[in-house]
Amino acid sequence: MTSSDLTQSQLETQASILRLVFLGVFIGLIILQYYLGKNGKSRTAGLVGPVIYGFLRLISNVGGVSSSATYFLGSLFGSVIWGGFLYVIYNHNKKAYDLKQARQKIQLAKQQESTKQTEENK
Amino acid sequence: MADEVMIKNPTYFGIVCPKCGSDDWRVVRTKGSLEAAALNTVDEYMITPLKARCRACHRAFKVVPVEADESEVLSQPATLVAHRVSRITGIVVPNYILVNGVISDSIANGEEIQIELRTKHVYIQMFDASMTGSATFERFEVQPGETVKRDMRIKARWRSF
Repeated sequence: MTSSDLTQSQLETQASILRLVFLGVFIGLIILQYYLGKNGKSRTAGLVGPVIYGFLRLISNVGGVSSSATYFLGSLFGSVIWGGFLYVIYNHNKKAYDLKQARQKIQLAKQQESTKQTEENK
Repeated sequence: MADEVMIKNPTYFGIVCPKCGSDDWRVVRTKGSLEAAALNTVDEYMITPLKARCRACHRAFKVVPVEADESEVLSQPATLVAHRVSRITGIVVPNYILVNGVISDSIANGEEIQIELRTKHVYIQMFDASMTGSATFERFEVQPGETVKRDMRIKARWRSF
């Protein structure tokens, strides 16, 4: 069956199913994002994103009219949400890495000090 | 940081709630402690005042670790083996271990780290990456040279109050 064989109502049904699938995937990704970085700022990023997206869909779908602007804004905000999430994750890990480096330096200094003391005692 | 002080053996032992006198309180916010942790030296720790909340009367107050007295300091350092339980929740973000009011180290998902303990009474707490949401917290006592193992896990709530 090709698309030309489908009636108007069948096409509409297919489109609404596709829309639901895409929305489901989007919500699934947001939930995944929420759980992956479920602390502080990353959690906020995971929560604020869908709220903005939902609001935009709501205001741009009044009366059942869906414009290409909806999809543009949806994809834009999707990118912003994921970009922000990844940035927060990067920032958290960078701080942790810096702390590890500082701690390793201290441990190295301690080892050197103890070695020096052992040599002096000999 | 105007309140920064360097001390050798920080401890929370003996600090009570200013309102009800209970020693059952916990740190709820560790703003500035991560920056302070980067300034630690070989012998001394940089300490900062942290926000704590009494679990008995729910009063919030500032808490600063004090220098442990001689009877409190261990003759031989003990070791804390902290293990962060591997979970999908917060898998991509590091957490931090607060020992006696000082951020000791970062801990990744499923990682196991060793921390030197210098005082008899120990206060440990695991914080999330934003240093506000708290996870496991515990007080316990150690003997000189003892090795203590603790499983730390992140909680799914903002606060445990």
